[in-house]
Amino acid sequence: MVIGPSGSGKSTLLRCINLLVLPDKGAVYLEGLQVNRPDIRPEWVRQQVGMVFQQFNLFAHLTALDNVTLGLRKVLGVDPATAATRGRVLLSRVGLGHKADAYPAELSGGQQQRVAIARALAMDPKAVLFDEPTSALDPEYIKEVLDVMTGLARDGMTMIVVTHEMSFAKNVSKRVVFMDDGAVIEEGTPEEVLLHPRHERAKAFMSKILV
Amino acid sequence: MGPDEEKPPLRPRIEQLGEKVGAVVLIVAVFVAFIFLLTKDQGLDVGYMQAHWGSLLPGLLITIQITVYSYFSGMVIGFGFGWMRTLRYRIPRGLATIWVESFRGTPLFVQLLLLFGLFSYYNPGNLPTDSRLLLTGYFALMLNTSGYQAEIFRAGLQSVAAGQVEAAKSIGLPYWGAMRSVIMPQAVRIVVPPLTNEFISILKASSLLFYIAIHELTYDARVLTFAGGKIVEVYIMLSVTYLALTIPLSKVVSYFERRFRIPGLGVQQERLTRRTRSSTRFVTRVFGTNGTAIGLVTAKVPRNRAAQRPNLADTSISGIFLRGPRMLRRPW
Repeated sequence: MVIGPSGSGKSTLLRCINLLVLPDKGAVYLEGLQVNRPDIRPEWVRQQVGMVFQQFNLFAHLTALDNVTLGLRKVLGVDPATAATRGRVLLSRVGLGHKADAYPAELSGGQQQRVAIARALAMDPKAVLFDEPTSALDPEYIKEVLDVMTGLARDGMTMIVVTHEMSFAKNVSKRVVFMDDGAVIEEGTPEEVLLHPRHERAKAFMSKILV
Repeated sequence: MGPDEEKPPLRPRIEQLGEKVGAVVLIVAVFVAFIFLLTKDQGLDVGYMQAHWGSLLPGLLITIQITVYSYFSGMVIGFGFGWMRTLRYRIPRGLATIWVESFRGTPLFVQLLLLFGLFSYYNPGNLPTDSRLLLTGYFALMLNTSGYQAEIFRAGLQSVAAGQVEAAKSIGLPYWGAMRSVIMPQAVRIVVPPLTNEFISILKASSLLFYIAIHELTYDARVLTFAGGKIVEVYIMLSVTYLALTIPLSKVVSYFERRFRIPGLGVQQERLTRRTRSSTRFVTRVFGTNGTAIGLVTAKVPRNRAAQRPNLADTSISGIFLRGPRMLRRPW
């Protein structure tokens, strides 16, 4: 989990990890391999690392199913029938098997975000990045998205989550990172960072949001 | 909300209706009188019009041909320049801007004259005069429309939300893959209405080509006026012929727009409003996922005159859900 005040660089950190933004310096490692090198195509890296956006960013002209299978068909070259079968499995996994033919505009925010999670999972990624996945949702839809994410975490998916949902961070995460002003200030177990922060700025932040 | 304290007297409906009918009658009367005066008390020679419509046909074919050719080749060029205008790099963007502004900022007629001069000086491939003139007209329309279409494509490409592109990249699509699978399909639904307008304007603009003696529709009509002296009749025939091309075209295109509509994309809802003194009525067509209309929803919003704003609390909403094309008519 990555937490921290607005403008502290959390989203930029995620975008650097899947090379949507090329880091000016530093190294990004994926399973021990440095990937921000000129001889590795960023497209390949993004294929390995899924991403879920704050504003869902579902492809507005495609149905839920086509959103999930687009990467399979166009990037991995899977034939449409196989892709559709896998897409339906993934949609059922996020509880939306019955919405396969709906367009994004016909889905609620929570449903859209779950489709977005299925879309990220379709590429069979090694890790999934979540950029404030519940910040744009109406309160009643937050739980359904967090439930899907909790399930993923239980199944052993590597996830890096930028979030303001502190109880979710406390219950699900293995490691919490606190960022401020473009730098990591604290990191450790949820217990350490959320309940007993050592750094002043982290203390101030935690006291404001109340775990 | 409380009751309106002050109720301005509403005029009776019949009076409002009478105003509209009166306006229409007046316009028609003025038009008829105008024609009548122009034709020196003789009235329109309808028989002449019927007899000579056929002689506009060859010109009509040339007009359609030259419009279609120049429009679609202009589309290829226009897409190229429109796309260049969306790039980050200054040089291609600057070149495209110069192209667009040159053709949009000067009159088409001047462009035509300039090209006419150029092609007379340097006759490419020693073409016979007829083909040279045709080529001149074709180039003038093509270059002009390419400037306008470039702007349409630029706007269409840029109207696709940045998040869509980011999402496409995040699943590993390369630039052109994102362009083909995500940006283009969304941009198409945005550019079709302005592209249709552009086709219609280039069709109408092709009438200028008579000036360089291309035998298109307007040229044929002028020849007819020289022969028979029935100037008003001929130009009415000409106008009706242009209308017969442009009106069905826009109808057909808007049919396809509705047919291929996707919820949440493009010009989403058609809103027919009817505003009276006391309320505003909004009518929205409701489309099914396959793009066909399945019903109408009407919302009547009374206006709170004292506060000068809609009174949402008293809004009434009613829906008509039907199947088939009939329900596309207005409910009133």
